[in-house]
Amino acid sequence: MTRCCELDLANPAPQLPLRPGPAWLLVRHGSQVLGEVRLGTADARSREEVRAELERRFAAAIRSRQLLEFALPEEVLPTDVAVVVCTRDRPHHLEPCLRALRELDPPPGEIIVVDNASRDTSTRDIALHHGLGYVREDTPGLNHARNAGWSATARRVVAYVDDDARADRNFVGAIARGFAAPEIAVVTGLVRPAELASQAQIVFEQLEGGMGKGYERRIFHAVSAPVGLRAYECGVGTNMAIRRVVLAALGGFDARIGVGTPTRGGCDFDLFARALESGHTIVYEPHAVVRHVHRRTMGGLLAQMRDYGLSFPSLLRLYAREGRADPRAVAKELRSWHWRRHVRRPLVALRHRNWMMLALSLAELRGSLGSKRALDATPSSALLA
Amino acid sequence: MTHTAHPTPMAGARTSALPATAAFVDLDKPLPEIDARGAPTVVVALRFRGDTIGSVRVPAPFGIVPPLHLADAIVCEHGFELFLRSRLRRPEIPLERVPSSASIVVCSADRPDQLERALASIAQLRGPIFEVIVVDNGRVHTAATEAVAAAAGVRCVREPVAGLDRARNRGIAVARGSVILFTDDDVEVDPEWAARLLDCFVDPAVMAATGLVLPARLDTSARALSESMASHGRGYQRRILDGTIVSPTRAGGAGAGASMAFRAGFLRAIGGFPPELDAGTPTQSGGDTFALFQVLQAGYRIVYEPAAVAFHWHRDDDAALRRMLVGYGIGSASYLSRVVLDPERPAPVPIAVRALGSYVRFLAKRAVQAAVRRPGAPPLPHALDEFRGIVQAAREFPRARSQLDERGRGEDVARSPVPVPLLDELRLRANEPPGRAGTPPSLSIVIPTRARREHVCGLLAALDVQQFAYDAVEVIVVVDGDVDGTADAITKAAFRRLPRVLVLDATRDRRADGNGAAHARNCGAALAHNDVLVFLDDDLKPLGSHLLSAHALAQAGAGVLGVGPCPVDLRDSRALHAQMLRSWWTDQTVRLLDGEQLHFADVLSGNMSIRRSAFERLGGFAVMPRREDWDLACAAEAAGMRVEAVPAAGAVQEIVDPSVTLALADRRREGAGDVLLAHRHPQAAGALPLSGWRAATGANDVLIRFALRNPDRVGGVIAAGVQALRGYETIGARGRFQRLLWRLARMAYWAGVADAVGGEDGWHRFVDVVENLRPRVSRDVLHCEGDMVHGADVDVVLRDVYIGSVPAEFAGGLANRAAFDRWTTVRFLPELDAIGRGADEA
Repeated sequence: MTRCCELDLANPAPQLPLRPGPAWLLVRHGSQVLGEVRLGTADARSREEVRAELERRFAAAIRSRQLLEFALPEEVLPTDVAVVVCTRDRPHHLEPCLRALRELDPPPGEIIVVDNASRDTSTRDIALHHGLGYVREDTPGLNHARNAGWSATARRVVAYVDDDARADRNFVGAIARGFAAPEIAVVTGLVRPAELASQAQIVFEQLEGGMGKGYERRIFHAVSAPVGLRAYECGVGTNMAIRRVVLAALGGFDARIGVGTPTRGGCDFDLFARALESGHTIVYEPHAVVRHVHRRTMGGLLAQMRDYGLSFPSLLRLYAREGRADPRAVAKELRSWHWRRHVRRPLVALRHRNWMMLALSLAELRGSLGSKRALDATPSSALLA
Repeated sequence: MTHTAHPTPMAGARTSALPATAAFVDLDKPLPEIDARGAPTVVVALRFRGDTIGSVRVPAPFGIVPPLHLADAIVCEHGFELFLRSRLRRPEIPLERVPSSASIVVCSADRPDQLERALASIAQLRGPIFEVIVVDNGRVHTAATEAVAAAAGVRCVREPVAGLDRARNRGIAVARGSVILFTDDDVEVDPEWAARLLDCFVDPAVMAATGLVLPARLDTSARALSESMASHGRGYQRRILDGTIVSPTRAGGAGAGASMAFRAGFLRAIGGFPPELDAGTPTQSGGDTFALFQVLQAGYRIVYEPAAVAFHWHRDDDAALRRMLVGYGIGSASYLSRVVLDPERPAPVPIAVRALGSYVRFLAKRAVQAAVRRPGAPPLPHALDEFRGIVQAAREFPRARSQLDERGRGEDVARSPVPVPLLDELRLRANEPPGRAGTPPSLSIVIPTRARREHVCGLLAALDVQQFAYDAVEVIVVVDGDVDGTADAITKAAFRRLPRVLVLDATRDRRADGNGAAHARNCGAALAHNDVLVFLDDDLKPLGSHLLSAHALAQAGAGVLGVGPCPVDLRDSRALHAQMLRSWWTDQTVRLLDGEQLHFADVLSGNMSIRRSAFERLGGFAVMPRREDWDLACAAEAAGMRVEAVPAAGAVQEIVDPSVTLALADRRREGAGDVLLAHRHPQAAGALPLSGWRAATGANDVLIRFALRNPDRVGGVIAAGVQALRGYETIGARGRFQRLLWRLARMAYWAGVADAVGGEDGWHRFVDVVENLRPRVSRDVLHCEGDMVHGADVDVVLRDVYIGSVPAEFAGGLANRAAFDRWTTVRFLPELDAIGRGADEA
């Protein structure tokens, strides 16, 4: 089993297990996330040796930042942030998620649990036990729940965290700092694995790259820093924060799509694309960390890949159908996507005899075959049902 | 809701020409919030502790760059550099060598509003600015230009005939400073600009300095394209272009006319800028490159100093940009024609042909990239403009020259010899009376000589007019084989004050070809009576009247080996090897003057003093093929004496044979001498080139093995190599000349070693005996790794980068400056390097 640990170089106390390897280490210095180090199975160094090595490796990054003097942005304060957790029938996930949220430092202005048509009262009990805000949304569908979440708060910024995610203690501070200018509408953050206990989780991280987008800040804008149709580069829905006014102007999340609808995903993608279309700026802020519990079983992972394969092409085709994107650009992007994911990647997998990679790729391909059907099942009515 | 705009599909090509905002940020102050002024990105140049360290490109789609974003971008891109720079310290600049007077010449043509901005920035300059001169080269707005100059309180002279170089020459003619700084009217300078450029002239071999030119604005695509295609900046690394190492045609890479400085004397020596070049004439550019070319061609140095920052206002007009690109093509070809056709010191034609070839290759590569629409490449028509310029030069350059005949050459810059600031400084020191410290000791001056009758008489005549108590002086001239009547000439000469000149023939009953200087010096010392021995070479020419008193003062206390500076004066030498010798002697003398820690390898017996008792105790000079001076110094150091510089005892060596063959023969003798030296003084062996055998290249080096095994065949190889060197010199391939010479010198040295130890077997036996034979001269940067992490201050002095190999390695062992570059650590510690590359690398 690979451990997922954290090492804060600003904290002199020992934080690692005696013999840390094999492990994935998130290295940070206070609120500054420096990077990630993977220790191999054969690594027999003691924790002191590992720490000394990492101090040496990250000395330049830490000290050069200390040399610089600068004011931190205070456009949005942590108390302006409402954290929204949407959940459905997963009390075993929700409990640790809420525990992490209650330990946030600085604390958010508000924490709201949106109970999306759960079949029993355990979700409600847990939320009330923690003394948090509780909203019930009876229409099943993640985007319905997310809309209920932002409608229930008056805070300026709504940060969405999935119920299978564990927010880092500095999460809200980093999110608030991410809104450094009034023009920044969306801030996304780094997603690291919370555990690498099963083979499915390790496979997801190593072959699919997990959900991480790197350790450097990235800024997206339709004109000056465009991503084209690849809005998935902006971040993932399990760690995103949006200004409430922007949500209101965009009409909220599109309830026709997303988890719990025929398209089975892509709610975050759709929101990012629409924010960019409307001229907003998205910032990927690596210092805002959320740890995510990936699917534990191989079956769950394959189902997830099928959903990915289904949602991306059906969303692009939906855009083309509604005239929001150039159909030729959509066709080109889909050709490129199929070529990369379903031709080149399986060939690479075959060459390296990597059957797991082949299986993931084929699952995604299988999902994509159903995209036309999903598109037909998606109503073309107004955005908010 | 409506969706009007499609997300821009896959944009991002040609990012380099996208408009941006230029900013300049001092990292020692709190980071500011940068206003992007509507541009999608901001290019921020960074200054840290006075140095310009680089730039970052930060996206700013929302109008500003918050300080946090700027800080993270800086840490990502320059974190390692910042970290290193915060731990390392710069060498201190000897302030007395910074030029004390400087003139700034601003040439302006009908742009009074821009001139006003330029003068306002010049008014903010810090440091010793002597005068500011505006040269008005315009025809329309002359009154306005004059009014602007008058309002700024600076002098305005008029050059009526159009031509930037004419205007510069007019400026040179009226400038009174020892250094002239040039800038243009469309430039704003940083307050540190002049001071940092002047600091470059601390090195006496530097004749020109250039600075970093950043774009003042990048807010339109024309300006951004102009910056990406024809930037005036030359990067963020401080560089020294040494004319003895790099080809002079690399002058264009040193800088541009918007920010450059020259020693006034050098400009006068080359007759100023050629009036047929540069703006205002058909050739349109090239004057600045011409002057920089002349610096390198004469074997002097140019420092490119990015800490001296100027901001250039690029033209906001695509048509003007294309005209400028054509102008660059014309100017480049024209300046190369001009250096070949120079009436006084024409450069060999192959140099220009090679340079034009590499320029065309560069342009062709860019044109191909433009044709295949490589990201970052310019548009194809722009890429072809410079080609058109080269072709047009065939018409425009002759036209410019014929215009010259019609309109006259303009201001004639008064000719003067090339300045030698080092000699001026030595002369100054040798003429100011030294302090007194009790009764000075009595001196015995020993002058070994052979076949240099006039020179030794000249030296004696110079010694006759020293300011010193002559009753405490005796002179012993040791003639090592009297072949030209030296003894007679000296006896006949009349000296007014020298009380006693003893002439001694050291070879009367021995070999007819002399016994060498060491033997002669020992003979002279044996006959001396006085307290202190001063050894002077026969070809020295004292630079002042305090040579004797300076040596006497240095020897007032016991236990000192005094070394006086004795540089050469090869100011006008055209031969590359002579320029190298001049460079080496200049560096060596500066080292003596700066009083860095001296050791035995700094001792040169040509101008040296030692107490007679100590000399006798040490047993005098050993009779060795070479290195007898180092041998004596080693013995002295072992006996607890120290090597001290005597800066006021400066003298010039009059006879310097710049022959390469001779130098290589000397090198061979040095090899043999080093073996003896290592044998006699094992503690010093680590500092000799011998010890390189164990270091990186040594044991496996083909040349060294060949020389050790076949010392007899080395002579033939060297003879062939010297022919090749001649060829390289003709075509101006100075880098290749250096590398080949360095290899030949290494072979000669190791052949000398083989001569001394008797072949390879003898060498291995010798290595076993001399256990200390491992390099001791460590590169101290290596050891600071651990300390850097834990915060101890590391005392590392940053050195300058010399482009190419190091000539001094050839010219004389390890006494020369350590030639590693300022950021050697980066190269030595690759794993630390990885830190700077971004933290996500696992």
